[in-house]
Amino acid sequence: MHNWKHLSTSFRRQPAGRIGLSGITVLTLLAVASLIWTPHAPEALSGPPLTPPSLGHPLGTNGLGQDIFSQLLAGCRISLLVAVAVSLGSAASGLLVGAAAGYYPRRLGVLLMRCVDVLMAVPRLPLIILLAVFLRPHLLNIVAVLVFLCWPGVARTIRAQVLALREQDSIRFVRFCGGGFGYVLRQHLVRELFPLLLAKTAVAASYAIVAEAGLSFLGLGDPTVKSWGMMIRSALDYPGLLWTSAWVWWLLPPSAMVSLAVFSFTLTGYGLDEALRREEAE
Amino acid sequence: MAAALLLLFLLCGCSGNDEASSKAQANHAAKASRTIHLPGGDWGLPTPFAFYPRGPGYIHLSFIYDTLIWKDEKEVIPWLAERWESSPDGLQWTFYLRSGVKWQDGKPLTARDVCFTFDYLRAHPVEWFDLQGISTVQAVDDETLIFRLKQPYAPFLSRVAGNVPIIPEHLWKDVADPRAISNLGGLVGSGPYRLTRYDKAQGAYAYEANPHFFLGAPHIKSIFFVPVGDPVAALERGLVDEASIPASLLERFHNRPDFSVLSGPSYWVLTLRFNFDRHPFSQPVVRQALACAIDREALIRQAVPGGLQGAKPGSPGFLPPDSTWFDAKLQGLYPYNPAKAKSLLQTAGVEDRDGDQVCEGADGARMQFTLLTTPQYLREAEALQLMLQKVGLVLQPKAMDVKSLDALVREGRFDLALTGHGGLGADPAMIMGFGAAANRSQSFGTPSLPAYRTLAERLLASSCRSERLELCRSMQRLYAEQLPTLPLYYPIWFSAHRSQALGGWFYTAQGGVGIGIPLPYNKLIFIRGNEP
Amino acid sequence: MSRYLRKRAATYLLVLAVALSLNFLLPRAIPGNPIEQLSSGLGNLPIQLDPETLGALQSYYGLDKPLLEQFWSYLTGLTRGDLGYSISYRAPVSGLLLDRFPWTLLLTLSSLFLSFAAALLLGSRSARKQNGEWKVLLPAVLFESVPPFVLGSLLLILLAVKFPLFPLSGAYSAFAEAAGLRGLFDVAHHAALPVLVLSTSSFFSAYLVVRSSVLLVKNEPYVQMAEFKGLSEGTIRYRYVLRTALLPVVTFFGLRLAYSAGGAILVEVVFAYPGVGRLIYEAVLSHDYALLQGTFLAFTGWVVCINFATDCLYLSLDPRVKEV
Repeated sequence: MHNWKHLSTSFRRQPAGRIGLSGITVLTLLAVASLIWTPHAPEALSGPPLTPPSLGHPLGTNGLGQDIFSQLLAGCRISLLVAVAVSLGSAASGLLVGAAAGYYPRRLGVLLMRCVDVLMAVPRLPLIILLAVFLRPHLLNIVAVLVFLCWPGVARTIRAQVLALREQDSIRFVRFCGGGFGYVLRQHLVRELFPLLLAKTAVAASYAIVAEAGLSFLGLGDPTVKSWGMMIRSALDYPGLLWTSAWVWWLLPPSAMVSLAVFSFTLTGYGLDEALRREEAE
Repeated sequence: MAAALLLLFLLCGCSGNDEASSKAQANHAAKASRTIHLPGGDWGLPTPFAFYPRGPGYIHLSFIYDTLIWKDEKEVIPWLAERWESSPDGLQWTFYLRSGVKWQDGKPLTARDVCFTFDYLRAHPVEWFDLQGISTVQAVDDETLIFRLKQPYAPFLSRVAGNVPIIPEHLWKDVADPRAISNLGGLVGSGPYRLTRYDKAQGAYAYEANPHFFLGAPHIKSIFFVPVGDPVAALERGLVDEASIPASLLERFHNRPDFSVLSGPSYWVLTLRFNFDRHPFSQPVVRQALACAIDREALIRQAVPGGLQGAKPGSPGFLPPDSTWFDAKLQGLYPYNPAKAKSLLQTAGVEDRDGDQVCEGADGARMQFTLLTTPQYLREAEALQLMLQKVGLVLQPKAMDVKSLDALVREGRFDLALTGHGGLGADPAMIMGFGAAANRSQSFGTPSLPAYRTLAERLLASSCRSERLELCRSMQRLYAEQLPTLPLYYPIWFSAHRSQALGGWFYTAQGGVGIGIPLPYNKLIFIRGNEP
Repeated sequence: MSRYLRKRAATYLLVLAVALSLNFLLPRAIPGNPIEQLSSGLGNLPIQLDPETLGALQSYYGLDKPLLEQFWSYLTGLTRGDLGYSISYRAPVSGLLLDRFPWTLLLTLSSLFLSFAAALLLGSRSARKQNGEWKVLLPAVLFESVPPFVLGSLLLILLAVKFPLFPLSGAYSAFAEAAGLRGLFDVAHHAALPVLVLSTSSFFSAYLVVRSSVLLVKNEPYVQMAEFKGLSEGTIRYRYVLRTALLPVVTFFGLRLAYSAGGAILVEVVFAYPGVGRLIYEAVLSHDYALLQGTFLAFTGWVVCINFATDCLYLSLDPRVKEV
């Protein structure tokens, strides 16, 4: 059983946890703020192309004349959406499959784990690229592909944990009383597994942001959503950009934001891992 | 250990500096040693069966192999054939070959090689060479040959005689699978250069001059195509002697004494495509109204990097002003006039009846459409949106990837689309008469009038130049009246080169190298050297 | 072969089978003819194919036979090493892969060695102190968070375009004719930036693994005994601690090696490095099905082989692992 108060204090006391969590908070605030107000509409051509930063355009305009700062804020939304969707999706499916595999370790578990092994052995980026070529480049497809790739990792960890939990006295008692898999999962296992799940999904979230940016960079992303990866791609595609000074304010901000997002999620995941490890050690 | 890493890094950096300085020295020596470096890329092994049918693939082929005729900066010139004539009915073409032409391995080139080439290519077809109109090829003697066609085919000179590379019979007659040839030794042509090295992975080619070339030894002794990441950076660093530059960087190269800039047509057009099955675009009047409502020069100024230096306004007759078939009278057919556009719309029943600044159709439907585009042309789409808003039409730009856009256009599930097409330098029977001629698949809209189709078929068959010009002008006029698509602009290409390395660069006349590659890599430039 | 290895081998064979079928069916599930798509598209010269030429080309590439027959000839071709013919490159796929594979290998092996060497040095040293690891960790996480293509593009812009210290693209200078030491320097010069970018992306995880396994081993009695004996810091660290802690590190190395080829795709694209990663990108751009199939299969085969080798190595290094 977790001592939640102890766990959260231990998490917050670490620099990793603190920095990571504050990063995620900042990003969420920016994303929410962008829903309410941005200096200009991100898709609108609000000025002449490639103008340097000014009062009206804090980060200048891009090659089409769109305000970069507004696009940056809107990109927050997209990246967080992708991160949350992928982590929720992979957490849910990973939890379900992993718990089932751990709870019924004999036949169902073996079958499920074999599937997990196969999926984990497939190289990730080439598979994403292959699928992205043949599916329409819609954001939903990208999220689906990423969930498909992330859930096996979650499932494997959850299964290991459930195998151990299954033999705990409290759980055995519940099973003895006749509690089925669904009941045990809902009432007992989820509470136990929650921190571990959180740690794994933080890693999945950071991978999702990188993968989405990478796909957009390769030109396989959704061209209608202005994610940070798309901004980087269109900056690099603009002919002769490097020979104007525009690359500093067009290329660098989205790169910095992607790195910041990945940094926050990775640190959070690391902080959670450390907190769990410390708790286990005690 | 951090120090060790740093040292390793510096070592790598220093050896790189040596390379850069040696390249600069190499360039100073270039003028004396007559070598030239050009931006490379992998375009396939230059055999007629392995070159990539895109980009400069054919250019590499043209260095090694010759065609019957060729083009320079002004006109068609004799090449392997000294002179040629066609029969009055257009079914028979006779070519008289130059005497004394030798293959690069020393054997003489005869008319039998030419016949063999055509027979072999018909046995092993390649997409680039259009040989289905030829009935027979016959060598009368060593230097004369006769083509017999199935029907009169006016583009024969540009698409066949100026395009098909002649291959040696003695090397290819025993080859069963020509696509499997991958060694350089088999690449023997009659052309000015021999391929000495080919690096497929990096896209690098090395050519050495053929001293026994029939026009004399080429001035440039070695041509190196080296891979570059950023062409402008490579040009600045001295890795290449010529590169194409975007119009937005013109100022950078304009006032520098060591660089010269050349401009040439891209033979590419950005068009606004209408869906004829959607009301109200089925009526030509509405399309003409839109042509009056769109200020093409303002569009270029707003949307194209480099402004009016970077593109020419579209002509409603479809062919660009750079084309020799262009009808100049059509350029001013639809001057920018929003009032006229509104009145034209009114005659079609489209006007604003309820005062909300948005027109309604004859049936009362709101005139609101989606404009499909790729993200690259979003600026143009936005500019169109603003212009059409002034005449009461609401346009919603929608960006998507190229494949989806092509699919939607093909299936007819669009209102308006921004699409582009290249190859406008080819014979007008192929470009203007595209849909009508030879039942090929349509890739851009053509007027569906029977009169247009008759004109196209006559254009394909006729061989009299003045008649063809007249036919082409009529076709352009019909096109301008029907406006199946509205050409918006034709981009202009620029190439910057080091003045000391080589002068005499030009963009080939009549559409570009071969069947219409608008790149400035005509082999004549390297054969002549600095002489104009 | 032990039961463990047999089970792993069965899993890997299953992976290969799935990859093969996926590879084969996916491109053919999309409507459209690959030959027609070759030269059509915006901006290219419109090459129109008449029906006879189309038919001839289709029969040459074997696209007109029924699906099952194509699949069977594909499988039999695989056993002979024939991975098909790339339409866009006009060359056999196996030849293309063999040409470019050494370059990807160079990049991944060099970057892995670099990051693991640094991780071993720094990880074993920092495990002595519980805190103060942040001096190394924070920059490491920061660098790992920057996506490899972003870091690569920025380094390329700064160190190759703005200040011409490094080459713009490629694996070696074309036609340089440099042999021996100069040639080696040339290759190293071209590979420097890509290797640097790739190693930053795996340094953090390698560091963590080294550090955690060293920490585990440090508290073993024989290490404390060595400390009591008064052996020097270096001897303890390298001779006692690192050798036992190496086991999980080795397996982690194997894991990273397996997946690093896929990770090199973005870096190769940014630096225009002629490796297999760039090949799959070009195949994607040109929708060249045979090439896509071949490269995907190559990646999967690589992952499977390295994973299996790592499992064998793990088994031989640690006899405690019999059943998992």
